[in-house]
Parts: sequence; structure tokens; C-alpha cells
Amino acid sequence: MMRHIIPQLPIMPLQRVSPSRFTAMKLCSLQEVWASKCDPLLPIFPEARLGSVIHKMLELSAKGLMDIEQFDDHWMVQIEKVEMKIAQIWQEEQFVPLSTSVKNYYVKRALCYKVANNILRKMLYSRQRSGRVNPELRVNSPDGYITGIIDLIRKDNDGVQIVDYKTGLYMSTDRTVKQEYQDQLKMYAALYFTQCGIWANRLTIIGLNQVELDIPFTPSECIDVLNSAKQLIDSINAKIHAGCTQESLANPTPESCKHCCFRPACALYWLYRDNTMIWPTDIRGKIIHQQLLGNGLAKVIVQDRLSEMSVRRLSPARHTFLNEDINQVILCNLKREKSLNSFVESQFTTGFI
Amino acid sequence: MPKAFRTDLSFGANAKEDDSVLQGSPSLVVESKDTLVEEISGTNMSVCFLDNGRVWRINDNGGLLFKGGECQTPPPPTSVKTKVIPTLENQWISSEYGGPSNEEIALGAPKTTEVLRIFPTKVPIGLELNHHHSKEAVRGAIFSSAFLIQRVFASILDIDPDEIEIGNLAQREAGGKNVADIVFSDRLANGSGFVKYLKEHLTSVLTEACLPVVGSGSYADIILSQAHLKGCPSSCVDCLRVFRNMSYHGLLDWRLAISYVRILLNNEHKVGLDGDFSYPELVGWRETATMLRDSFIKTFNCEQRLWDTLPGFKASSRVFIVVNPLWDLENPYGILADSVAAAIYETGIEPEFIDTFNLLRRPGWCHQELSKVSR
Repeated sequence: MMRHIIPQLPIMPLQRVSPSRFTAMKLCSLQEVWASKCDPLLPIFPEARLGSVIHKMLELSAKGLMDIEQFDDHWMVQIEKVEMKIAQIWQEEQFVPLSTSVKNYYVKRALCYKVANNILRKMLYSRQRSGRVNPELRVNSPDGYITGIIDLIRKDNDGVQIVDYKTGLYMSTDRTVKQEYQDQLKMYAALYFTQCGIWANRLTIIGLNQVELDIPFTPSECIDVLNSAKQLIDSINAKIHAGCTQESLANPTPESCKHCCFRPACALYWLYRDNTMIWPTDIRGKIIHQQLLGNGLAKVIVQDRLSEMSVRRLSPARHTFLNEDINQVILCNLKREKSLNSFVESQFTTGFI
Repeated sequence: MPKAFRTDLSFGANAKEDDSVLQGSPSLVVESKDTLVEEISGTNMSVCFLDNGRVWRINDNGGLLFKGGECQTPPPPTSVKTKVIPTLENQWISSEYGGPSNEEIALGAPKTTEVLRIFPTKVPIGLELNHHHSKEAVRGAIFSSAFLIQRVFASILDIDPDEIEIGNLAQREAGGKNVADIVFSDRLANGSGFVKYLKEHLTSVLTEACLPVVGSGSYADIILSQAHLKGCPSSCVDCLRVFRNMSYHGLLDWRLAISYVRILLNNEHKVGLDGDFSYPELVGWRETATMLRDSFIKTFNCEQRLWDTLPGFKASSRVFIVVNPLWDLENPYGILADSVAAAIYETGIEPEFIDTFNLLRRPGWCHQELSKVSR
């Protein structure tokens, strides 16, 4: 039962922010404040967990810590590590094994193999051309507030290339690299300059399909992005030091809340959202009817401020509070059914009381 | 279900010859009832047996249904010979014979008999056994295996294959994935014991279907003989085609039938995804797939490609891989995953799939389908 109770989440000043989080922070400061100090309330997608394994494999290749013949062994070790971790997280334990919960798991693994092999070959080629490859370089802003790890630095006679690997979708609908990734790489360039005194001449994103996309940039743009990140952190911290409430940091919109793992605890989210499709498929309200069906799964009717909603296929084993006498419930990440106000459990569904 | 049939009570006329031909036998629908599911140990199949299953033979007039309606007969007499016909109320008369046309019905004939349902306990990783998958191909595989089991069983007991009948597929869930029941029932009302016997000897019947004694001359041995293997690309009168399953001829495929039977026997069977194409039904599959691909793209402006170990092609900005219809395309596994990765790695494009079942039977339709998707 205890795990289904939303804890009191602290509001504390930001101490360190990664360039990869800048866009999320711009969208909603509260999300970043909570993410810096608290465990997520909602599950992290298993695709993201697999992405971290792929990143690790590419890091091992880039550091020359793995031969391609050892790929399978290293893969298994990394997967086991992640699976052991998520088996301890009650919101994510159902995603073990990742091979069945992640779509295209084996394709991603085969692609990772090809990319790792390519990295190893390029490293060899680069060494032969007396070029240098530096994997995993940590870069920090002088005040230490902004810190990140660059996946790969390639140096040759043409200059310095900053490379970031992306294991998921990195293109936006208008067929350009997503703005958040452009900003991330521009911040890396500025941080690299601050730390090493050299401007990179190429900022490149490499996907698992091995397509290399260069991001156009100017040094002043990079400095601007870094400065705006610093200003944002300063303003958030100033508000927090002044004793602000969560409401003054939150910015609930369908876009910012879609991937937020803290929205069950966000008062403004529940105030602003409605039951239209643009918002995440969550409900909160009073249970007015509860029934255990013949298939062992539960059905509840929940009354919120707008309407009555029916939720089926809820597993009492996953949502242990369904065995108790409860009144209010929050169910996040449901799946919509065709009929209005009808939902079913998905593998991401998480419940709170 | 009509309570009775009658003639038009006249002296009649000479029968018209072949004025309505119905191909094969009408479909058989078996009512589903809650029965105990029994896992057959040492295999990947589960069964449900009912000694009082309700089975319906449905005649839907080849899908057109029968048009007609209730009326009083006869209409005013036109011949002196009909004056003895009594007036009858509430007669359902087909519109072909002068009845109204306000109803469309199918005819049903029920019986109670022994029923056996067979389904895979687990879907092997990398495969898809939902009968809606691969545009009829999986359905074809399941029906083909049902006819194969029927014929092998009849050959073992030396009985007429029609002693046991095959019902329509019924969907169920196994391990979180959709699968279909193969439904067998005794032809005789109240059961003849054949279906019960099949249940008791299911493992040996299925083993005989895919691993017959070589040279025994049994039905399964003939199917797996070199001569049949080379001469029959999908189905023929020597393997699965008979008059009574005429309406299924387009779906029948002995290779898929044997693959499906192997899946029922072994939940580790991968239908070639593990790179093992040594089973008789899979020997030469890649070569056949390559040949079908070549023939398909001959008329279109496509570029032949080999994606890792699987044949495929590139058509402008689209990439295709030729696949076995039983492979799961949502979550590729084994050599298919390697092939998908190779296509993405080389072109940066997510590949699409085209299966050998449809490429072999209806290449024109395949081309139409591909055009639809691209629009």
C-alpha cells in the first residue's frame, strides 16, 4: 500500500543540470526541480532503459574496452544490470525481460552491433591517419551548474567534431533534428570551448541507422544557448530561495506533461488538464463502483470533476490498493477504448491513492 | 434453422442442370463452451475435448445469403393442376420462388457430437500465429495443418478423412498473444469416437505428420518425398487438395502446414529464424523467396538487394524484405532482425515486408497493396 501513496516531493535549488535536460527545463521548471532530487513516480519507458544499454555498449567500443567478438557477452552483462535495476522499481518490474517489453529489441541489438563495429573500425582508421578519438568527455561550465558528457570527440587535421549518439527518434516532423538535440549539442560546443579553448567545427548526431547529421551553428549561438540555460537556472533557484510554491514553478501543458514522470504529484496539472486526447490518459477521482471480474481482473468506475469513467482490466496484483477499501484513486498511463470515458490498463499504468 | 422443407406442392418440372453450384462443403461452426484445457506434455499444444459439443453446418449461399420472407401460399392458382394445393400460412418462401424479399438468412443444421480443439500453448519467440496476420497466410497455415492432421489421421486408421470434420477457426489468447483453435468434430451425430481417439494419440499423429518413417509409403511420407517436394510449390491433389475442401484450395500450403505442426510439437521451433533451413518444408526457402522476388520486381523499376541473409528490394525511397508468413514482423527476431538492421543500417529506411505466401499466389495483389500503402 505504502508504495502507492504519493510522497511529499521537496522543492530544492538546482545544483547541476545536464544540457540534455535544458529543453524539458524550459518547458516546466518544476519537472526539472523534482527530477534533480526525486525518484520518478511514473515508469521510465523500457525503450529508454534499452537506450542506456546501447549507449553503454557504444561507450565501451569508443573507449576500446571491447572487441566486437565480445559484443554478446558485454550486451548480456549490461542488459542484466539494467534488468536487475528495474526489477527493484515497482513501477517498472513488469518490463523484465526487456527482450519482450521493448519493441524491436533484437533489431536494436543488431543495429548496436553494427554501429559498435563501425566505431571500432573507424577508431583503427583514425589511428592509422594519426587522428585522435576521445570518447566520453565530461564538460562543465565554470560555475559547475551545467555539466554533461560528450559521447565522442573526433580530432583530425580538419578540426574538432563533437558527436552525440541517439538511440531513439531524433528527427522532428519537419525533417530537421529536434530542437532539443540542436540546443544540447550547441551547449556541448560552448562548454567544450570554455573548457578546452577550442571551437568545434562540426556538431554531429549519429543515429543507430548510421546516418550522420551535422547541425549548423555559430559560436555566438552556442554561447547564447548556454547563457540562457544559466539564466534559467538562476531564476529558478532565485524563486526557490524566495520560498516559492510548486504552483509558481509548474507549467502544465500537454507537451510538457506528456513525458513528465512527476505529474501525479503536480497540483496544477490536475487543475489544468481535461479528458481530451491531447493530455496524457490519466484519471483522478472517487471510486463509485469496484468489481472483480471473472478473469481475475478488476473494473472500477471513477467519478472525477467532469464525468464518470470506467477502467477495466486492472490487475489487483499490480495495483494492490484495489484489495483495500479506498475512496480516491489516481490512475496514470491508461489506454483509451473506443467508447467515450472507457479505459483499460496498459503496461505503463501506475496507480496511486 | 428451418423446422422442415417442402416442395411447391405441384407436380414439378424437370430439374435444371447445374443452375447453382456450391463449391466444397458449407462451413462448420462449433459453439464455444467452457471446457477444461489440457496441456499435452512434451509438446507445445493444449487441447479442449467435449463429448457433447454443438456443431452447426452453415449454408450462407456462398456468402450471398438466401433472400425471401414469410407469406401465405399459394398465390392465386394459374394452373388447373394447382387447385388442390392448400392455403398455408407463415411459409418462408425464397424470393427466387415468388416469396417476398424482406429477409436475408443463412441456413443452419446443428448436431451434437464430439469436438476437439487444438491450439499452441505458447507462441515461440519471433513467430506470429494470429490467424489475421500476414493477410490470410497464417489462416492458410492453420487450415492447411488441420487438413494435414485430418489426412494423416485417416491414413493411420485407414478411414475416410471425412469421418472427422474441420470447423471454422476460433480465436483465443495464449501467453498474451492471439492464437487460433483448430477444431475437429466427428461427422456422425453423437460421436463416432474418432475425434476422441485423435485426442488420445495426438502426439504420435502429429509426429507422423512431420517425421514419417522414410520409405513407408504413408501419406506423410509421400508429402515429404523428394518428388513432391520439388513438384508442389503450395498444394496439389497428392497432398492437401480434395473436393470437399475446394473452398480452401487457395489457402492450402503443405510447407506451412508442416511448419505449424512442428510449432505445435515444439515451442522452440523457429521456422528458419535461427538460420536452420534444413527441415524438408524449409529446404530451399531462401532460394524460392529470391526467385519470387526476382519475378515480382521484373516488371517494376526496383533494385534487387540482399539484406544480410534475406532477399529484398529497394523501390525508390522504400525498402522491402521477403519474409516467411509465420514470422513476427512487429518484433523481428533472429535472421529477420539482422536483415531489418542491415536494411536500416545501409539505407536509413525502415523496411517493409512482403511474404512468400502472397508473392507466390497473388503477385498482382501484392503490388496493389504496396501501392495502397505508399499512397
